[in-house]
Amino acid sequence: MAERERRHVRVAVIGSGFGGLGAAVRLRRQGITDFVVLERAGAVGGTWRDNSYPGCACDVPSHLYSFSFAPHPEWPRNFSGQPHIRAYLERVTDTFGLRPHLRFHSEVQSLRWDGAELHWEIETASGPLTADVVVSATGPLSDPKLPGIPGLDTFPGAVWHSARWDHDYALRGKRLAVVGTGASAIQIVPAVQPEVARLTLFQRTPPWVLPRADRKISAAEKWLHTKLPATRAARRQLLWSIRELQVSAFTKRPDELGLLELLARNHMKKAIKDPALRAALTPDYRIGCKRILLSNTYYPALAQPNVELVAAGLKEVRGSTLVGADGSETEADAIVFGTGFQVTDMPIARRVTGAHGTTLAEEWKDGMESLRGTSAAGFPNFLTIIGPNTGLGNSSMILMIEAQLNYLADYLRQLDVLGGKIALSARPSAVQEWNRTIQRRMERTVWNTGGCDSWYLDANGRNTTVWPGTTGEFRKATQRVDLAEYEVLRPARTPADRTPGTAAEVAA
Amino acid sequence: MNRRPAHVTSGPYAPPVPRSTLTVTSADGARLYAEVHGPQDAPAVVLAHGWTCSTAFWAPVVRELAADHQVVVYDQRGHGRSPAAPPAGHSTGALADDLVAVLEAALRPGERAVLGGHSMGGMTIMAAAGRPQLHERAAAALLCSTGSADLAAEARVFALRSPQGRRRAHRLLLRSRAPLGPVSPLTRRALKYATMGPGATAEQVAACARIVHGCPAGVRARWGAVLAGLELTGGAGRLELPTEVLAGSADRLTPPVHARRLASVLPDFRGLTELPGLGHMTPIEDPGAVAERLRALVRDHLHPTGTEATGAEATDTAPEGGRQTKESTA
Repeated sequence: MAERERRHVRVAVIGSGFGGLGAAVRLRRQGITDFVVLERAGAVGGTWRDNSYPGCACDVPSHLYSFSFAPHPEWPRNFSGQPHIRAYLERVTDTFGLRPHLRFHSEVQSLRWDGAELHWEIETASGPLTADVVVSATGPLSDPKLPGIPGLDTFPGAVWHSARWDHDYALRGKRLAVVGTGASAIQIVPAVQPEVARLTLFQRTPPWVLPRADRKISAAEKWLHTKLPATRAARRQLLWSIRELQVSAFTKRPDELGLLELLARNHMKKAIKDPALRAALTPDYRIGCKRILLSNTYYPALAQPNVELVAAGLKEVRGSTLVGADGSETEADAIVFGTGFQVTDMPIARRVTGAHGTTLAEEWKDGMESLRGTSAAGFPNFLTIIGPNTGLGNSSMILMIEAQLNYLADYLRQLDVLGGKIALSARPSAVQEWNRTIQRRMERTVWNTGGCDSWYLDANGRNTTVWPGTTGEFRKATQRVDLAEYEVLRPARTPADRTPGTAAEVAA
Repeated sequence: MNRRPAHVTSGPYAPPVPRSTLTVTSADGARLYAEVHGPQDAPAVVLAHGWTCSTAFWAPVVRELAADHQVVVYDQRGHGRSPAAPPAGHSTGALADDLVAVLEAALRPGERAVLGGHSMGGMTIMAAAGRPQLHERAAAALLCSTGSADLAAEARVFALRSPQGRRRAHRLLLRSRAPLGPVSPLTRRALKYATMGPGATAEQVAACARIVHGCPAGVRARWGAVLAGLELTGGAGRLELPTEVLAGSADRLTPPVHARRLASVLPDFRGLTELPGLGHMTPIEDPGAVAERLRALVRDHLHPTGTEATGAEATDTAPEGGRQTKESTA
């Protein structure tokens, strides 16, 4: 290949989901146009592009699960489906003129900090570039997690992950096995149950499921929201306030959640009449410890005659026979893994090499930690959107993303104010201090005390994913970049600068 | 209302009699009153006072240093004996102009000095960071109880919970034109609460009160407006001379968080002195500590005068000489 000059940009954003597109909008609003958005696929949307499984919808009301700067009065339902959310992101891309910044099919292969030049060297599938600042918006729910099941390679049928749905596979009349009972699986089961001949659901741990107050948003409401934007804002405000008030039960007084358990039990009783099945579906941990799921159709689908619940994980595959951890054997034509994502070990971390020559994954081997969920020590000018401890158990991630975008905007402002070729590097002491506070607050939370293992906890049992507070608190904590928490990196002096004679001339 | 209180006339806070005084003309023609204390051939220290203060503010520090230092103090425009400037003359740029004008006028050709700035005086030094005259004249700097930005947001005079509320309240305080009236027990208490630590003596509070009440309300409000919109982080980042920072831990006007930020930003940062229990008025609350840091900077970075005819840099061979010769890349 011909030696081409590397392109340099001020900011490189990785990912074009809610986080990446939001960052792009924020950068433009900040007056920064010298940036690119690197996307591994051929379209925007991130998680909402990849997850196209039947029944895929958001479990946060759409009027809250959208950008505050890009309101959408036309949301069709309280909990809009994936096609609408994806279309919303496409529209945001057009409305805010982000297309010229998008670089599709540009999966980031490596990121390397150049301490002499004070910039990042980025290798992508579409060629190399350099950037002063990298905004990593790769998202926690982007790389599927597949459990290593012995004998899976002997399975003659089709196998896929919920986030990589095989739309060419005709489900009608097939025997389908679904592994997992998380947020994806409980949407898939009721959506495919009427079609398939038999559905076997492998459940390691049952989830708590609450009723979902979903309904069509009426034409009158849409009209009102269009004509009177204040009504839409009020609706969003209300949805937000309710969730802010719930937070303290999760973070400080998990016992208060007992009431919700009652609600969830009743919800199940209405659909599941078989006491044995009911027992198998009742969790033994405090509600909220794992993500609370919302569905009105999950339990009714499980009660159907063509659905079988295996209250154990999938242990082994022998040809077309699936063996459960309880010894049960099931025949299947296809397996869907609704087993979630690599959340606690951010896959991009393995590709980022920081100032000390180590990768972010190596630095994070004992658990992810970043200053204010954004800056990891030793990785200058590298900001993570939805970084460590920024996840939520009950509200809209878009609120957290926007809070981090405020931080990003102030970060770039500080770089401008300081001027010249410089970089900010989070002080290890500041990162530790931030995380000490978080982990102290985490002690009482339902995620740590609820008696369950969840995707919120890393291999060491530490909760490095959830924010133990309200979205308002996080917004406050990320309003400004505190330079006391950063080291200012400047280019190393050339030897000529150090010679007194030259220096005197420069000063003269 | 125009009868402003006189300075205290006895004790360590009474302004000492200067060896000489001079009137300096700044870039825009503004006239500044300056005093020179101490022996003529001693190492030079130039001190810039803060918002609503005057040369009298440095009195106890001058007393500590004047025996073996040539100490230059001056009144920032509108303060003390320097006449007020027209509204357009209130900016950090004007503060920088004034400082370099004083350096040029008060120091002999080629002579260098250690600079000390308290509060707005520290901001003056940051504002002058890019000036070539500062590079020629300043050997080192001490920034006392000061910050480079976000003063209204970080101040804790009004202990409101909401950051926006705090910012708004402090902006109002900074820009207020309300007359302070005569010095009274009530105003003394208010001043002590806002600007000094709990351990400040009655004598110290009285000295401060007379100085602060001496500042005309209009001057106070105009400079307060400059402080409310301050953004000198870039200047601090270009201050390429050995710089120490000093802060009082109980400072409500410029809490120590500013000092820690400066520690991050200053390119040749040499150390942070946090004085426990002190408020904003560190040079009055603990003149000994401030003088000691200035003395140390003189010792480490300012070399005997008379050998500097060939240019300061040529003789600049202090132990940390390698770090000292960092020059502006501009």
